[in-house]
Amino acid sequence: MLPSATLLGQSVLSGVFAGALYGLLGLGLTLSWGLLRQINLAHFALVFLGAYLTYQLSSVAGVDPLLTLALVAPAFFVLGALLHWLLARFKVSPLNTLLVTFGFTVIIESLIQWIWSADFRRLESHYAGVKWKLGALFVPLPELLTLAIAAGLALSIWAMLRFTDLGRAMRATAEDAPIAAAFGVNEKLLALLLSGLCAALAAVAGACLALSHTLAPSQIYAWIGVVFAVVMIGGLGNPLGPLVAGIAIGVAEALTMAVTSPAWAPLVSFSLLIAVLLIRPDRF
Amino acid sequence: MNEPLLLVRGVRKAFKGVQALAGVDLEVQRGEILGLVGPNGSGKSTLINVVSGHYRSDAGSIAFEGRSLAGEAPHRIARAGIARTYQIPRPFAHLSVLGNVALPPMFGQVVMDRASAEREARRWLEFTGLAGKAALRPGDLNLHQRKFLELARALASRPKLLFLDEVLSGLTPVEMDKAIGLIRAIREQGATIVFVEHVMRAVLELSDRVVVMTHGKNIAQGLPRDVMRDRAVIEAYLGSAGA
Amino acid sequence: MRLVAAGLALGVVPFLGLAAFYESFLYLIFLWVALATSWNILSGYAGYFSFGHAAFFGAGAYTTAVLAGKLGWPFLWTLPLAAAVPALLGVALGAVIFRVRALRGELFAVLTLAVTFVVATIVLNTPIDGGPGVYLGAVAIPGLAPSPSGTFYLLALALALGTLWIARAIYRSRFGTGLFAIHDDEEVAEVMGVPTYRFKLAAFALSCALAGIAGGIHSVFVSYVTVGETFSGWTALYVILMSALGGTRHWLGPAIGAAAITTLLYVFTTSDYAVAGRAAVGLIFIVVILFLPQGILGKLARR
Repeated sequence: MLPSATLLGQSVLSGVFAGALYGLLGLGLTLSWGLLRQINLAHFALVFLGAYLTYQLSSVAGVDPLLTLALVAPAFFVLGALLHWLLARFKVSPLNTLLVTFGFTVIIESLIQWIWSADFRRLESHYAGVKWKLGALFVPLPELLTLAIAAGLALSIWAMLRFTDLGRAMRATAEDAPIAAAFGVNEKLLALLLSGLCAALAAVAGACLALSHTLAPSQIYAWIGVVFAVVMIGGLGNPLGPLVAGIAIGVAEALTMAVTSPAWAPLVSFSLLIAVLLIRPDRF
Repeated sequence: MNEPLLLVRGVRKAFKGVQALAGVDLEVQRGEILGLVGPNGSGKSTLINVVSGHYRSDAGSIAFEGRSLAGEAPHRIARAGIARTYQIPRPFAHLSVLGNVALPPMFGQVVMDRASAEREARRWLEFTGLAGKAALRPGDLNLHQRKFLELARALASRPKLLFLDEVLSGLTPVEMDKAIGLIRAIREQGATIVFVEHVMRAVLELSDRVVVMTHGKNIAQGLPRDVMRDRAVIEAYLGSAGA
Repeated sequence: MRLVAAGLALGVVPFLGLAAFYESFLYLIFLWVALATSWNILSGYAGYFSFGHAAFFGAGAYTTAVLAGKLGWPFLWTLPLAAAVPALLGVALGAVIFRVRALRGELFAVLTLAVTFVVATIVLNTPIDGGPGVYLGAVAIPGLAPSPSGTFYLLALALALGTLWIARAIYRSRFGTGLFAIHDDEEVAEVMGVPTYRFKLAAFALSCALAGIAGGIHSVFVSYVTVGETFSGWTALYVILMSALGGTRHWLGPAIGAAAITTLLYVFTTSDYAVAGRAAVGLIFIVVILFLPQGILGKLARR
């Protein structure tokens, strides 16, 4: 019993939108993992913190959700730089980085629960109600904005890494830090900048998340699986990777849900991840 | 002539575009000391890694005591009686010196219980002069002692075939003499030894036969003096102008 | 020998007529001792840090929940299956993951974390749970002690002692030496004759089975299981913290850490600062990783 063409089309579209959010969530993670060799589990908690801050500033202070970023993103930039400074200062190994950032995740989750409680929070913004029609399909504005932001950021960062001196320096440091340093690249400063950027990206992802999803502290963990999958499948350090992989997985999940049932959706990303790891394990 | 202990035919191994082994043919006779020499990058360590199972060969055959070893899991190769040392010692950092040497007897050809394995380990620590260091950690030893720890560990499983990978590099002349004496004593115990070395003095002194490798292939083999005079060998080491 | 003596001494407690509060508190300690010690068998000894212990705890919990709560099995009969189901899951995962050389360290951690949420989502979206949780209040508690809380106390005590006994036996055995060698240098261990793949699978299966039994017991203790609570990320964090605090290279390390952290958490939870307590745990976790990586028993672990 196959669903109708319209339903399939809508599924594909919502899959694309879901994938765009995965891509945006994965952007900060892939950069820090690929270029800094740090797996920052706290990324997810930061995204949610950003989402809650967007919710708070928007609901209570009436600020436009996207404009809250003018405040939140720079603040997070500083947080990200601080985190990296801490890890560098204690010369934390990659595995221990994972553990330490897990610890931070837990602290941030507790903070969120303390301030906003475990109840569900939904941002009611003027974007939320807007829906356009594309043929027989509905295109909701928040999701469209997320797609635009995700694609825009991914492309800009890709271009930055590829064509600017700063980007080249970052890639050089990632590949061979001592040699890059010998050429005058200030590795420490770059790492701080990059870490700050990743945290700012988390803030952006949080704002988009707040636009289209209901928030709860326990939800932090729900995204870890699929975002890690898109980051790993998309290739570490590649800004476009999570977006492309995200859309592919998002569509696959949506189609799976349309044809079978929602229970099997997380299996899609996980199975693809296992498949990639088995077929091309040398990518890591 | 008896069947060779180890028979390697046409073994190839490539890494990301570099052909480390380009069709190696090699025979090791039981009870001999075979010197394996060649310029840096000729594939000597890779050959040891392939035979001991650290890497899987891309092609070719490896037969030990008549049994094929190619593609076998490394722990089975160890069980069959092959042991090796690492050029840069790789001891188990958190096990004691005794614990390090006691491990192979617990997992080797003859599976011993802990008490017997530790007794066996102490024997080999005596043999290599490390008996007093049994309770220390490898991190507490100097390079020479760590190399001897590698040796003791490799010997502890009473291998039939022992690969020594540059066990003499970095040693002082006095330490080197001691090591050479040890290697002779090991052969007297019944092990067959293939040792990779750059120190020519040791190669000429110890080896019954020598095999020269370059660019992943065996280019000469035979008695040490003959091989060292072989034109192809001299060219390999010094370049054609030197011949 | 000392374990048996301690076990007998502790086993007397439910019959002393103390308030149920003491039995419940000690029950929690025993439960976490079992969870942390079982985690340590693979992750501490062999160095494969799993972030997914909650997946196996949860698998065991739901096995009992479904069998006892929905199908009416007697509680104790569900426990062998509460061990078997997670063990099979672990073996299935390990069979695939342990074959790939690249999937160690951080990647293994990430994968096991993802497993937890995949399992949780499947349980949530299928008839296993379906959403509302499983109510186990009607399950008959065997009368091993004068009170239900006493019975749980004894069950958890037995599990904790059994797990400790197993951990110690492995620690002293050839199997344990192999696992520790894998931790230090897996490739060299393999070349020295340690059958690394088999050993890792065995350690993982054992670890998962024990976590599963803990889950099975706990599900009836709380009498109402939900996906959110059972598969929570906290379980993963706590077992890692407890083991790291006590010392991952010693069989008794996780138990010491478990006792310490459980007590700390109990103090916080019963006061008004439950959330602050959790944040404090996160902070302690970070401090331990940064400043005390060997754990309390770290110096003691001689091998």
